[in-house]
Amino acid sequence: MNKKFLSTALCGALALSALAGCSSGQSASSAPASSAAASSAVSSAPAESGENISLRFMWWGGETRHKATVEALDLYTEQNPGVRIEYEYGGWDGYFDKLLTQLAGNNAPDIVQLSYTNASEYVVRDQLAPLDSYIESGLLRTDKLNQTLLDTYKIDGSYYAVPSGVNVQLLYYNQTMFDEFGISYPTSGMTFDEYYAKAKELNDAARAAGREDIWGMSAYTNALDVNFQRVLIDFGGQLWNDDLTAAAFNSPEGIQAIEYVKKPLDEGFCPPPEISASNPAGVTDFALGRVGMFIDNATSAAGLAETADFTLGMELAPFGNNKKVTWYQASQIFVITKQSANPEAAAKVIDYMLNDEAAGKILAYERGIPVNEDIRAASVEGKSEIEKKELELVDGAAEFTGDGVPMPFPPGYLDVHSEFERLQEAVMYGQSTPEEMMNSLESFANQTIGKFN
Amino acid sequence: MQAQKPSRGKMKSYIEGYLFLLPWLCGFLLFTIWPIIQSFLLSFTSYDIFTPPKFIGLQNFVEMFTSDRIFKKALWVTLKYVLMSVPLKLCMALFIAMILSQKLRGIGIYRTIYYLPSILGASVAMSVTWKMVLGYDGFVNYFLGLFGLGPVNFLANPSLSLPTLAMISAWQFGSAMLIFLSGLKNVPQELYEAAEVDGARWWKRFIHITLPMLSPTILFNFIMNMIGSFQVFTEAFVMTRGGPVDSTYFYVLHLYRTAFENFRMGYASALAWLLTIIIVIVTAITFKISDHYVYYEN
Amino acid sequence: MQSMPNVSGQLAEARRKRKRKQDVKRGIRFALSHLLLIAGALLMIFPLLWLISSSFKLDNEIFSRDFSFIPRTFTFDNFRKGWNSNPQYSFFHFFCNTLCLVGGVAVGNIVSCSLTAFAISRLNFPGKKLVFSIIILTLMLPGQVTLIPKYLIFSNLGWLSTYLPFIVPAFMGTQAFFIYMMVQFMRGIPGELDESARIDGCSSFRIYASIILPLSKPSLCSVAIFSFIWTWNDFLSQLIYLSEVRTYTVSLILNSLVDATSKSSWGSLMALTLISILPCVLLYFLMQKYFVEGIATSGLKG
Repeated sequence: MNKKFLSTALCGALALSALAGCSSGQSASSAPASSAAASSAVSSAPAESGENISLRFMWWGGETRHKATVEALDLYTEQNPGVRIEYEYGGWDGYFDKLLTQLAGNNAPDIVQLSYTNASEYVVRDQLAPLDSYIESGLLRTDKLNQTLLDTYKIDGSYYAVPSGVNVQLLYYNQTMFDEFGISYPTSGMTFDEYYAKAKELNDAARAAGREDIWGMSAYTNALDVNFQRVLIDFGGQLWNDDLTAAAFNSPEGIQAIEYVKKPLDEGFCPPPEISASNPAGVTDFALGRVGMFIDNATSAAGLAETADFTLGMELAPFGNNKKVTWYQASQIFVITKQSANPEAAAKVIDYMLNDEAAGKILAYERGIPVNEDIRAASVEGKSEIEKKELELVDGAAEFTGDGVPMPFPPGYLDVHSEFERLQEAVMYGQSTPEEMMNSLESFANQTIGKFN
Repeated sequence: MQAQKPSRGKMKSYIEGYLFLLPWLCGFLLFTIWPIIQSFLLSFTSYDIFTPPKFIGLQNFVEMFTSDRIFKKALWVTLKYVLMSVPLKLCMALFIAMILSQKLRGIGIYRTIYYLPSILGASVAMSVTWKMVLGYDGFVNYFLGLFGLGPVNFLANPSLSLPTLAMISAWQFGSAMLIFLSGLKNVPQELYEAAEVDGARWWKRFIHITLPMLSPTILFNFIMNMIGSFQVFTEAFVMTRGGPVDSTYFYVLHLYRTAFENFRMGYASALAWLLTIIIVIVTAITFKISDHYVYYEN
Repeated sequence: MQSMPNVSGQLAEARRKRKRKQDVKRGIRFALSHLLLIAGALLMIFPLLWLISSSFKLDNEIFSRDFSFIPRTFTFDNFRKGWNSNPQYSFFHFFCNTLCLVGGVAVGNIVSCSLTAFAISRLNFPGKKLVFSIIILTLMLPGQVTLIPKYLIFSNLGWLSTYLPFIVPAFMGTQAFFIYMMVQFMRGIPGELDESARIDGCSSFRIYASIILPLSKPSLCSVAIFSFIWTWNDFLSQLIYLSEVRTYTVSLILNSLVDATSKSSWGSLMALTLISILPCVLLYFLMQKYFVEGIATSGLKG
């Protein structure tokens, strides 16, 4: 009897939870149908009517970026009652897989945030809408934006993306650690060699004091297009051939560059990869207080300052031994998909994100330093000391730019990028040589890029 | 083929049988067979989702064995993982089940605790936790440090990462343990008593009574866990991303990346079909070998 | 000559001695077993204990090198912040979403898998063996391969951003493992039961509904709990099928807080992680008796 009661109760509970689900999730089960209907209705009734346009905006980020973006977009829909924006946000994991399935299913969002490296992937597959007409008509104003940055996304003569913000690499250092060992702080405008020397100095001081668990600097690995390209250009090499159809990095300069990046590891003033790789995603050796110096994007400043257990110092990243290899880059980019039924409305939203003063205030530095110079200038107001310093450095970086210009990204770049990381990891772990790495990366890159020609 | 026409009653029960199967059949056709057929056909094509598939014959399969730089590595890593994790998991499950099968007090509490990890599984939540606990400054190294050991780079050392993932999977031995427990309950107690009278030591009893009597259960657990291990994915996807230095680059991770990062659906389908064939063959071989060792009462 | 009582007394003494020796031996064995089991149990749950302690810690203490299970500064802030970490909805909303999704899937699996398993284990019809082999075979196919074809099907049906891609297949018995589990269980129910019912003129459905189903309760519970837990912990398919934030589940929200390219608050992440595993743990505690029985039978007959 008791058992029977239990089983009935169980079934009842399950049924109830399903029912409850249906009622609380009522919107969930019924709305999509209506939203699908809405979007098809929109596509049949063109945007000119200006009424009831529904857009979908997709981005990745963490808690603070979600909050700021939602707030900014809510304000936009408040000001533009005819427009409804649906937010689709999540973490970095699986973001592009989801985008891919949506594109495949003809169900892609209108506005998408992409990594600054992978617009060309989607352009060659004919998935993005060119933005030229919106830029010309002034719907998407670019006059206050950095032209060089914008031109990075000019593919086959058309603009396909606009940067959401500006980034430049900064040198972060652990002031507390430098004080502890009585070493002078690093400064802006150092060369790579001076940077290495500083790291070695700190490292030696730590060893002399019997500390085996801290190191001078973090390894300057991973980002093919930034870290590696900077060192490569400094040595006089280049990443791709001039028309972006083949790899050009498998050169003596390329091998030199890899060896140069590995030098701190060989000489023991950066932590071995076994230690760095054991950190949880998004947590660095620097944040954990294991290393004295660390080169990262300017946008990391606020986060580092908030989580660090020590006094954070920052300067411009070292600019190269032979050349000025500092440059501005986009932090992320916004694109409009070809499947969008309302590209004009989408362009307007992007324009708002970049050029609107109120939006600029809300979005702050969530996607890099604002690209619009007016908004950037205005953004200092009410900012923390760290952010003021960040902005000052970003503006000051101009002094060290010039010689090195990053190349645009060939199609298939992201694959090459991840292959680079995979192979460089093997070099850092001592399981492969720079020559082997360059050979296999070259053949992989040529094969990947070749598929698009 | 039937010799005589089935009687009316039989016909009726046949129809009933099919009626009961109807929901499954619909689901099977729509959500299993249809996607499978599509993926089977795709495995002979080159397909990037945006442009229509192009038939290329067996080229995908040829590429796997000739120019795919990771295929062999991924297959090898997966095999090693299966060989590590399945025996480890089963041994732990059997060991704990045997201890629990003694009439101990508090067995319910132990059973609950030992099963708990299997509830948590390989979720996003647990992956985050593991990565933090096993980190260089993580709890486990703190603990080892108390005994003057370590620090050990569990997930970041290329020669330790795979065993570490195997351990994490073995940690979830709960289901296998429960199945062993019930298997142990069905071993006739008289056999043990008789052996005890004969003065057989515990390990003799284990080899000559427990193992043979338990062999069908062992086979079941082995096969189920093996199939699961061949398809291992989430752990590597969220914790190690295949690294360091490809030491946890599992087959399904390769498949997934081929499909969703390199946009190569045709090739990924071919990979999936090959894996399925491998699993079927290995399962068949296991059954064949088990014929000699597995003891069925009737 | 010794007297009889003396002999028997000696014998009894010897027996008692042996028994005492055995008792001691047994006691030691039991103590050892318990010691081993307790050590093992700690090994089993230490990540969980760590998680609990971390969710009450401040961010920088989580990564601090001098570890302590008791937080140095005890804070509930993580829970409050984590609960409100989404700009549009509170965590409760996503919690309900997940319950709704998981509940639907569990009910679906129970209904469809029991029907199918009943047909395979209790009824006779041509092709039965074939059906069962097919079900076993589908266990061996890696799910990733059908991800894109399935996505296209659901997209064409207009089911994206609803829970239908999860619930409808569940109602159609696409989880081969559950069918297999229930078949094994139902085969263990004595055949005389339905034979006598059939002689009494019961239809197959009556036999299913009023004899086999009630007797399969442990197995049904296992299926319910397994589908609850698996769906609760699942990430990939939810990521792909659910794009509107309104329909997000707990897994997706956790993922939306972990981002390598921007700052995450680890304390609140740990707190949410803890909350997110609670339902599974609670359900397991509440239903464990049936659950254990249900799983235990699945491996008996090869």
